[in-house]
Amino acid sequence: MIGERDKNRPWLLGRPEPRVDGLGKVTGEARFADDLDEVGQVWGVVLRAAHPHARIVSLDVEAARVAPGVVAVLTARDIPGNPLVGGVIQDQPVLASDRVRMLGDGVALVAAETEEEARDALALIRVAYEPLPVVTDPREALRPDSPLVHDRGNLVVHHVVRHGDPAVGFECAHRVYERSYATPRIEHAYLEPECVLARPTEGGGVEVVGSIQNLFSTRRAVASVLGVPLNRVRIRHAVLGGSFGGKDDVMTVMACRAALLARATGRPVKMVNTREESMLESYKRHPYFLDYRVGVDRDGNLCAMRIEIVADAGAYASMSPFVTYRSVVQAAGPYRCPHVWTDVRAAYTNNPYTGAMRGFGSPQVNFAIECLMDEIAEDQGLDPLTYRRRVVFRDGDITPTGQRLTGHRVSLDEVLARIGAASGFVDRWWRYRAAREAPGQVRRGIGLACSYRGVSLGAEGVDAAATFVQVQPDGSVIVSSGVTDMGQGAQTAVAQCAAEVLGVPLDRVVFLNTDTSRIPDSGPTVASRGTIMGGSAAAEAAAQVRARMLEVAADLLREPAKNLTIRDGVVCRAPSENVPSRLTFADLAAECFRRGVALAALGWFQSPRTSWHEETGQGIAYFTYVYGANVAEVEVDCGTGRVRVVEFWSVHDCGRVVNRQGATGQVHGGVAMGLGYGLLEEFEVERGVPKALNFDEYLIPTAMDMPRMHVEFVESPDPAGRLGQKSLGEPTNEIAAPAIVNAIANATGRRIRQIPATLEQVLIGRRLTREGPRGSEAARGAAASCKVRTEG
Amino acid sequence: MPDAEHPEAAGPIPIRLRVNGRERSVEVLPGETLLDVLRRRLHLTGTKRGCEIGECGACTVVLDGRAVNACLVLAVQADGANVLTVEGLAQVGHADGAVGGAGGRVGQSDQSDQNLHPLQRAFLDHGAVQCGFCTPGVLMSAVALLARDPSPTPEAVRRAIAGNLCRCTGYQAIVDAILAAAAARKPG
Amino acid sequence: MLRGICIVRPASVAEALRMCADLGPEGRPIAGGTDVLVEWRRRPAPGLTLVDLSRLDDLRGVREADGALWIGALTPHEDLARSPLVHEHATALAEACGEVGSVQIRNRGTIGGNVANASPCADGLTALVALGAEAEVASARGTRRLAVEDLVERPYRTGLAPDELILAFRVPGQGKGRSAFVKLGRRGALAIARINAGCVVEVAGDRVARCLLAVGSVMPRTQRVREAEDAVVGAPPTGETAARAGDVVARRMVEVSGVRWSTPYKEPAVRAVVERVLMRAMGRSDA
Repeated sequence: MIGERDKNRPWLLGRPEPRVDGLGKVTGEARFADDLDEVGQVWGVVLRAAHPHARIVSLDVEAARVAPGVVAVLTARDIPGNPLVGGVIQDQPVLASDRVRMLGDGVALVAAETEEEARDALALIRVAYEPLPVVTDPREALRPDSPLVHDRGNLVVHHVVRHGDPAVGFECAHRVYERSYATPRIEHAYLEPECVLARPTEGGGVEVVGSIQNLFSTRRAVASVLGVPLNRVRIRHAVLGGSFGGKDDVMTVMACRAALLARATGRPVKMVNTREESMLESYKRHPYFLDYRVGVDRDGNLCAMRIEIVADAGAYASMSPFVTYRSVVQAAGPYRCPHVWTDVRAAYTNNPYTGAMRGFGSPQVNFAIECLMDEIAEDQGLDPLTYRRRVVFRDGDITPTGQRLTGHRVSLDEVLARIGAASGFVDRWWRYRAAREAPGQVRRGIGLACSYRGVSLGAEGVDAAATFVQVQPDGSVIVSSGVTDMGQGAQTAVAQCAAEVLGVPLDRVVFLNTDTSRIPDSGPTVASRGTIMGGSAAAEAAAQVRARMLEVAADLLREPAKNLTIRDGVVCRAPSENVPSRLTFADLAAECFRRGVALAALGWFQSPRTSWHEETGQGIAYFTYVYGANVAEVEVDCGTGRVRVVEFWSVHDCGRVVNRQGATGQVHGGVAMGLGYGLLEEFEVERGVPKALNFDEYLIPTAMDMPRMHVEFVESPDPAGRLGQKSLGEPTNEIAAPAIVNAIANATGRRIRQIPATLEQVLIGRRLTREGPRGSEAARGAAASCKVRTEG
Repeated sequence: MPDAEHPEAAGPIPIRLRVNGRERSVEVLPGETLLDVLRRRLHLTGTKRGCEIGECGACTVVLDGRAVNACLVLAVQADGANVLTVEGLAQVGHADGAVGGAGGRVGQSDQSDQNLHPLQRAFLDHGAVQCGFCTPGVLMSAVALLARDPSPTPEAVRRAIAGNLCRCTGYQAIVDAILAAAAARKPG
Repeated sequence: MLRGICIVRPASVAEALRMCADLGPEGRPIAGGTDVLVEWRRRPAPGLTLVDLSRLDDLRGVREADGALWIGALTPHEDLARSPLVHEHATALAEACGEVGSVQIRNRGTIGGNVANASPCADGLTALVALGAEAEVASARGTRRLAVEDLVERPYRTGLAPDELILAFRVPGQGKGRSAFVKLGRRGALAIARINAGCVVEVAGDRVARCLLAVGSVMPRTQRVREAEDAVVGAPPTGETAARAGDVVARRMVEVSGVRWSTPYKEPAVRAVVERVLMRAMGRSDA
């Protein structure tokens, strides 16, 4: 057990230590999945659907089988085990058998000696389709006459919150707001496209290494598809080039396919998506349609909310049931309101499927509620900061799920005060508002948004994780954990937690990439749970080893163990003063080794209890919460609609900061992604067909689009984390867009309720949609066919 | 079709490259890009494949002193050129910044953090690396920038790396790292 | 790896012209490759043989000649964006080239390629048209000069014969005229122009004596808008004049292109862009 003393006085935690995995990434030595090859490997490629919704009438692969270099061609009929995968609902075929439901669906697999031969063979597969009616709007999909995407109906999930009685609440309302919002489908846009390398192993098993975020869910699926026990399937991740929630289901499917090919060919199989394949096949962030009805009394208090939301799940359920769970819990924002009824439905459509993405159901609802709160504030004659500080949650308040916020500090008011001071918000907001009518086309605006967020999985499911800590006889340390590093810095954070407790400098620690056969199933690395779950398990493991080591130190130094501690690689006396002894950690480790002391331990951390009543949406939705606020300052060109974010502030209470450099980096990246969400990004799909599949048309922010960002932390150590730490990855990403859109409103006086706030939205107040391909594409096509005619 | 006049048009073409200071001779197909040659033939996998249409910058290398997307250079067009990749950066750091012209060993795996290029050091110190997939490309854009403009403004740094997409860092730590590396190299 | 590519690599302009003549419609010049290779990946054309111009060093560079600027067709955008000569004598072109893609693209992509690709949103093309530049075009049959504006016939199609190559551009001296370029894109870099505009404005006394104005991404091909130029010449160099020209361009856009999906946006936006580019060339960008 970690004593209170240690918890309050960390020596290493919070320092901006460099990443434990940084060196290889700056030298080019870090091996990402596509940098790995195996002797004798073949290339695996996928034939994808030609229609967003169709019955497969016939499938003829014979010509492909005998094509040059081809080693195997597989279809759904060749799957020995369970043909369906899915983290919550098993509804996604590894290969379509009788029906395709989205353009990204796989129909057949080819393995060949070279990538070129494999791709050439794809062209020889003959598929006859009978197109079926396509449904692409989730609201239409829920109507009784809609075409069905799955036979069990188009409703994936329906979550409710029933808190108080809005009918009563609206009676007290002085003013009622009815507003509709819409948020876009967006792409994770990790820079590294998906890749796996699978190798057959004895006993009918496989070993898969790849760009995989959630190794244990991939393992479950691969074992089930192959029909072998879990211990015959070993999944490891290579260095991951970004994930943001995105390398989960899509990697599971890819790993299953590669595993099937590896078993069928008896050879290692490599599969790599091109960027176009990646964008076509991978799942996206859910587009939401949100209807809010909010009543405000004479004093500006929120008296009732009625919220109805429809999410587009696309063709498969993926994480939709959990994504919408977070939405239903957090839809009303961090505000006191006695009567809240919320309904969130997710519906199947023939669009690309949607699943986990950084934020996980919060960016959508935060956009809506934060824009709405801004509007209410202005009508109250108050600036948005002052108004919010009157109505935000404080210690002991009750959330719409009936959960009393206790056991941790509800610090949102302090977060707001800090960001207000740092950004000079109130003064600037009034100043820019007054300057709206000034001459000139370029206007300034400043905008605010804030949020609370449940930590980790909450009542979604089992929440526990493992970390294994081994001290070597020379005092160096090896840490491995069930949480994955996809670039966010989990290895560094978890290692730093272990080093904090062991008392060794971080450069003495090496972190091993996660391997499902060497660490217990720790659940998925999602929900910003890496640092709290993996880090707490690391602290637990390190505490076990340290206790054993200090017994030996006590013997060597003739001092009771309780009077000893370890700091920066040296055993210290009198823990309150940290008087160094002559005994180093390395010498102590060597002595422990000589005495046969076990220098390794497995730490297991299980989260505090949560609860959920499905019919009423009441319960302890999450065991604790984090709080954050963003302020954006923008320049709006009223001649063209171009918006430039010129400065940005983020303040977060994420509990104790483990690594200041990593934490700051998380905030920067979260803001960048949020800026893209607010201003640029939309993965457009027309009648089930994506309009853009590469970075030339799917625009994410460049270095020229990002403002200077200022980051501050309010640190309220939380008893839920072993070292007081909580979560950060997602809170950073969930409120940038509303802060920016509120800033645009401050500059122009016009409210945008549909993001992204494109040139068109800002200038003429609506989106414009090009039908069919981009003009240039059409023109090029015409030019090309014209050429054929004139020359042919 | 390879026409009768130019029978060599479709077949393998021998080319010479100077890669990270070392002469390399390879036979390439006309459709092979510089990226293909670096990754598949020379096994220099530090240069990453991200989009293959010159939009993401993950494959940025320094070609005759200029930052280019290796995916948009046909290998035959690079015949005779001097190429610097991330694997050659540590040696350039030692050879006092002669971009693309450094001698020394290639692909060595004993790069301790003592002999890093100042930019590599600065990227680590400033937290400019997260997932690391864009990092080699950003480093090469930065190398080319500092060779041309040893004391860039923050704006010039942003312009120089605008062709390198990064989804993790929001670019701020990258910009800070490049500015710090530039400041550290200034005499006095 | 791009499938089905055949390539020939001439070492001189004469050899290149000979190869183009031999190949005829089966030849396709490639310079920096930033358009050709992207297009090939999307739509391979295995019947074509690429003629690699990248070794024709004679066609690279900028120099003054007879009061005009000679610009080799193979000069990369980045060189033009950095050239003091171009900045001084053809500001709009330097500004346009500096707005193309990214450093990596500007280092490879050439001004000749930008024009030959004939994209309606090409930045360099708009600047050259605005500057009244001429192209020097050659084939084994001989050399001819024509206005850059007349080179492009429709989107992605020039009037060049299959065996012809653009060797260079000639940008006339602008006298007391000042040029400027404005691009409107969706983001700060790596952006395709939603609208771009270039212009030359020469002021004599309190009136505009000469004006050339070209817009891209607005009509099927990049072209000068003479009605707008006429509205500016003879008028005072003021915001009202610039705004009036913007109105004229917006009206012409709808007349020429018809009402398209983007018209409700482009109509007001092109007004603002045209107004701005004229104001900059009038030296009143602060307004």
